Amino acid sequence: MSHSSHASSAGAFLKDSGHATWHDETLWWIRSKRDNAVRNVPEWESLRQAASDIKKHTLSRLGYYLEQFEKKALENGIKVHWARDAEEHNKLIYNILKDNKAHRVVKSKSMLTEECRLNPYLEKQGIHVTDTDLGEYIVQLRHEPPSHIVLPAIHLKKEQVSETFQEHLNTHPGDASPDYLTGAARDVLRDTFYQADAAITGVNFAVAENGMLVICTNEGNADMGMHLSKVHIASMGIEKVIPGIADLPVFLRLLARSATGQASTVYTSHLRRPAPGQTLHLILVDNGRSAMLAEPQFRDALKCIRCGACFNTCPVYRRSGGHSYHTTVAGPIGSVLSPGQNLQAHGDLPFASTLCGSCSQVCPVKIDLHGQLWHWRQKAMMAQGGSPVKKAIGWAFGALLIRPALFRNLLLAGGWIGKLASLKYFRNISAWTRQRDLPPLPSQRFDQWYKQRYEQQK
Amino acid sequence: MSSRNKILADLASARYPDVAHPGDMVTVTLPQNLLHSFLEACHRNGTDIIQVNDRNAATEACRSNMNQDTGLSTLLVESSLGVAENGSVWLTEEILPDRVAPFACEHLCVILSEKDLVPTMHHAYQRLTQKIEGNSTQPISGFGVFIAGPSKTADIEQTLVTGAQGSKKHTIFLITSL
Repeated sequence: MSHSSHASSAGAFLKDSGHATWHDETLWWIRSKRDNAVRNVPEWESLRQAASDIKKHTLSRLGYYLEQFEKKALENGIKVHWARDAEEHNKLIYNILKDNKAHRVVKSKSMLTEECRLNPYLEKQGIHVTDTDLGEYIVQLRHEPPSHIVLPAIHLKKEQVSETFQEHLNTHPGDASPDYLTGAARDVLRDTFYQADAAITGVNFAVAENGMLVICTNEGNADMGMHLSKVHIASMGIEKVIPGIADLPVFLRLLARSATGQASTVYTSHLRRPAPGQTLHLILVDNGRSAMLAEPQFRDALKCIRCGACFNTCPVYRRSGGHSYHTTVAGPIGSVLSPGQNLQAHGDLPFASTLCGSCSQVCPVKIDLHGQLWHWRQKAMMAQGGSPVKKAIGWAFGALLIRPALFRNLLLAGGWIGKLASLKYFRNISAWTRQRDLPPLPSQRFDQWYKQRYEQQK
Repeated sequence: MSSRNKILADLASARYPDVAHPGDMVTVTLPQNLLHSFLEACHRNGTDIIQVNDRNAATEACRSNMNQDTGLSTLLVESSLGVAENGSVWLTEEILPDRVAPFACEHLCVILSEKDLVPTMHHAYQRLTQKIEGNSTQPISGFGVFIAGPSKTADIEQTLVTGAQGSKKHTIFLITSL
């Protein structure tokens, strides 16, 4: 394993407790914006149920809808490609760029292209891709991965962005205001858009009924890219297809409210045909999705519409940051998707959770996230066995619980265990015990207390 | 075996149990006042609204607006559909000089009639795919977009900045039946 575990990365993140607290409060504030937006939609729970059911229905005949989508898209003049895995996806894109002699490429947000590690692949072939979403642009300049699927630079303070822009854009060191910095990026990126010869975008929804793509942004960068380039390549996970046009409003009403608390993204673009003189390529990517579809306990994670609401609410994500997750998609959904791709590498992520279930509550498509995290824990323990400490605790409890007499006697000893636990040595074992007092333990076990009362009442 | 056929075969063998499409199950809450709802949503989006009597007044207002603004490149178009729940307007490539225009301009001005307002996105898509003589129409021929305000981002320390990569300003000239 080339990366640190979530626990140790989180420990490092928490050392800067001021920064960690700021990160925590910021994400929670975004969660509360979501709540405000939801309050304005009385039929919210009904929308969630509809979205979940539509996704389940789609997944139950995914092949059928993909074939229908392909047929319509081809009729519309969209070139459709299929990629089994990341390598094939990257090669396909490279070949399209090569065929079109495209060297200056712009890309708008696509977690799928991150998942496939497209940028490093293209760099090796001598093609530089500029990520145009402001957050992704910032982390690209800093050679960092995004830490959140919707808010890629959420882990950065404006002073850090200013430093990066001073280095790369020659911005003024005295001004770290977001207005100024955003304006500087806008000017540079406008130039980049006008000079680009190819644009790569993601896809939010692909409508099977009429072969139409829907792409949502707040910045307008996907549109600036795709309408100014002769070649538009759209990358899409196969689970993004939805059956019909009438299904779109269900998802669109849920997406932005869940993500940022907006009633909709600023731009909701619908593409059915390439513009005159333009070619539009769509790449349908599997990369482990069909395998996940075959797993009854985990297949519903494919309902995900990548809103990020689970990140914003998760107390562990809020207090450990996206980079602690050592995976493309962090947060609860990442912890449910990544072990499926590589249990060895990502088996620690299902344990980066208190199983509080907040993620499942906010998920617009009702994925049972905390249920799936729990299932993954079983799998991880059976495959990897867990740490020596975990094994020891498991053994100890196992030995204790099958010996009722011993268990009862040990409970009696609760009084002096409590006194021991309050001793400084034991308190300092972990951050958990350092900050908590053991509640006062009763002098009697419940069965003794009950028996005594019962005797008294006779 | 081609990738396409391999993927389709893998999907078929996944044996996801059959689930019916839920159909039209959402009971949509309608706003008490459609116009107020739209105006509120526009305000939240940072959209400027100027109410006018007719199309000519709208064009005039846009022109005088342009003279006041210091040299923002301006695009004036007319929309046939506005959505109250999110303050968005629908534009298609038929009414645009080209697809990039509403994003590349610095000030996007849109003429919209109050009578073309619908409550929610459900109503919007129903309008766009209205069955005409039994045939359901395509919502778009090639390209269409819902635009809900000027472009924005909060990617730097969650501070809202208007004028990210698309327009910096968004004005709707609303023809109201007054």
